[in-house]
Amino acid sequence: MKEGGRANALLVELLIVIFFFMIAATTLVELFAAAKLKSMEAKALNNSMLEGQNLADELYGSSDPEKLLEARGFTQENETWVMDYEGYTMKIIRREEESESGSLVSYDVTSYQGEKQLISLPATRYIPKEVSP
Amino acid sequence: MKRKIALGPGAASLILIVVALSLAMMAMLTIIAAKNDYSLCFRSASMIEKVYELNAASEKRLAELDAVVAKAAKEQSGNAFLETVGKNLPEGMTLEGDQVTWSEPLENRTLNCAVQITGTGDQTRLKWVTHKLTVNEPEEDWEW
Repeated sequence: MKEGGRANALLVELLIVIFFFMIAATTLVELFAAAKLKSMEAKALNNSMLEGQNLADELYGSSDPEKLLEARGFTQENETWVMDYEGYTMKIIRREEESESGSLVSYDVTSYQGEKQLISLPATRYIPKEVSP
Repeated sequence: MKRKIALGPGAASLILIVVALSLAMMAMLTIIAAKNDYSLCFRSASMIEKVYELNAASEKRLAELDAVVAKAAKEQSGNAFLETVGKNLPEGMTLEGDQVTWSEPLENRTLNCAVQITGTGDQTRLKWVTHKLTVNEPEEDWEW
């Protein structure tokens, strides 16, 4: 009788430990997955920020931005250039406002992770025209 | 004679619990570090976005000013030209000598701009003199 009681206690103890371990494991897996997701988001944001800055600066100074974007591997759809990077997509939209004295050319460098917008950098440059006095 | 190590199931269970708690602590620290990394990147990205927005705004204002200068150049020459430019300056701009100054504010940042009026007819009517970014007051929400 005494031996049976000890065996039962041991069994209950083991069951409690296994149950606790199962709950802990589930929570831990969720936590590690969330941490990995967050760090992947941070990596994409950081990479897209650096790439976006490079692109915006190059577009600002370039004499032939379309050629530059083609050389970088962007594909053109109307006035929009798109390229997929690791973990995010870069989209560049060109806008131009003409006036008598010059034109205001703007490239909106935007990166997306799925549907979520990460950064948006406008690279705007004013190009004056010759006006005869 | 062999010595028996007394490690019963109770002790083993306690070790398992300690291991599980350590793992939980490590997971918590990992997620806190990941969140902090993300918020640092986010802050950095939003600051860079603001700088680019200010640059874009300054180029737009330059276009407005150039339109005024080009129009004045068509109509006048010499001192009368500068007077006409001074009268028709876009809002927020001031003319001192041959330099036009203005500032672009955005939240707690200001981009101070100055351009020099260099000519009346050719393509380069304006030349950048100052393009300086200043932070008016430090950020308040420095908590991570």
